[in-house]
Amino acid sequence: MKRYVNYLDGIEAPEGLTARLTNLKSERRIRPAYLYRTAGIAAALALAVGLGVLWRHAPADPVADHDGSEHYTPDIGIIVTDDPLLGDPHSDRREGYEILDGEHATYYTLPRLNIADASGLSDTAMDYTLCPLDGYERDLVENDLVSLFGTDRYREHLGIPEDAEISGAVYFTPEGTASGLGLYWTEGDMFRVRYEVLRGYDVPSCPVMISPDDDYGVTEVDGVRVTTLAFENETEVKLFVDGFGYKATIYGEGRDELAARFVRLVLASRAGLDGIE
Amino acid sequence: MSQNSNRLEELIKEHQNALYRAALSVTGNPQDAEDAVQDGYLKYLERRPRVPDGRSARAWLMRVTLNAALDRLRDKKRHPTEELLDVHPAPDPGTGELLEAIGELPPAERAAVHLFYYEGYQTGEIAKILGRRPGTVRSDLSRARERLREKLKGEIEL
Repeated sequence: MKRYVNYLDGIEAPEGLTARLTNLKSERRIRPAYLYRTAGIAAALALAVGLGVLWRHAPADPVADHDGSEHYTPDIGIIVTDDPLLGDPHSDRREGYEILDGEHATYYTLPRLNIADASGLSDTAMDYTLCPLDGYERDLVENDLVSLFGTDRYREHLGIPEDAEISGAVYFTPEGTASGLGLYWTEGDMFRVRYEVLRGYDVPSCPVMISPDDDYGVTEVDGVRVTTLAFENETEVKLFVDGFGYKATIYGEGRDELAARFVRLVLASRAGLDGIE
Repeated sequence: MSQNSNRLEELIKEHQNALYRAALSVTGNPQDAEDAVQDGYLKYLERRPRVPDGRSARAWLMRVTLNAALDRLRDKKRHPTEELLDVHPAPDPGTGELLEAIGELPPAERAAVHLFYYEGYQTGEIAKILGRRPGTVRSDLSRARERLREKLKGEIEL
């Protein structure tokens, strides 16, 4: 990277910038356009919630499992009730998460997650990685995701755009049983999600081991304990279901919504690695 | 002149080039880089952080400046229209290829690469600056190196 260093060493801040900085007056700060937009979205969302503005929805078709059986039916739309944890699926009161640029979307029932703020933490936070395994790995293929989530509409339910590139790996035991999966996708340059699924959770340094000492936000959803932690630029959500540990690390805007989508999809599909070979 | 004005001028003199280069590396656009640097110093004036020494001040300013730079990219949702190399041409083809390859990295990885290779920060410090965990930063750096090697096909030493 010596070329990179030499190149940048030859660049000086423009003279005009020094004058701009020297004349700065904090009380005359001009808010950039994106703050207005963000504030507008937040205000619109708050207003929608306050007025009980609700979206109608159309129920989705039943989804066939990889073995051909119907195992869950996603309900497209978000249910809002006074219950802070989970909406009543029979309620007519609905709201939706608002996505960027004024677009609205309706999703199936999403839990409201209690997310602990960890932006003040730094290098004291735990460092996770997929467990080292005495097995082998291969690249993730689309059928793995269909098997994992039980639907070929996983993009829709996870909020992954059709043109987003998905990559990842599946980890196997020496006997050939899928033991873990890492899923990674990007949206443009800015948005990234990393999902990790691991069979069992009694492995040392497991990526989804939840330390009782950590000050996580905890939400009980469908009887499952979901823990969440928000760093300044990323949100981490973890849960255990049926002997599998799930962890999602989400970066960029809309993180909380995607965390809720992830939890709902895992719980709705009872996603596991058994269908992955 | 007030003490605060003196302090601001010292910080401008000491760090504006480093901040501008970092913002330029992330945004690839001189105007956006200038705006991000200005945002950084404005936040300093607004928040008056307790930064006991020059290195701490630089890290604090680097953090808010890079956040401002990343916000500008997020607002545009695409690469800047004005290319870095148009304004600051590379001295040789190899440097140009390297810069183009770095420019194709996701912004957060560009930021991590710049802080690691140019500023010389350790991953723990980069994590603090970028508001991420050290493991995430190490993962970003590893992935960035892999992408650069693949892109440059080993023709340029990293």
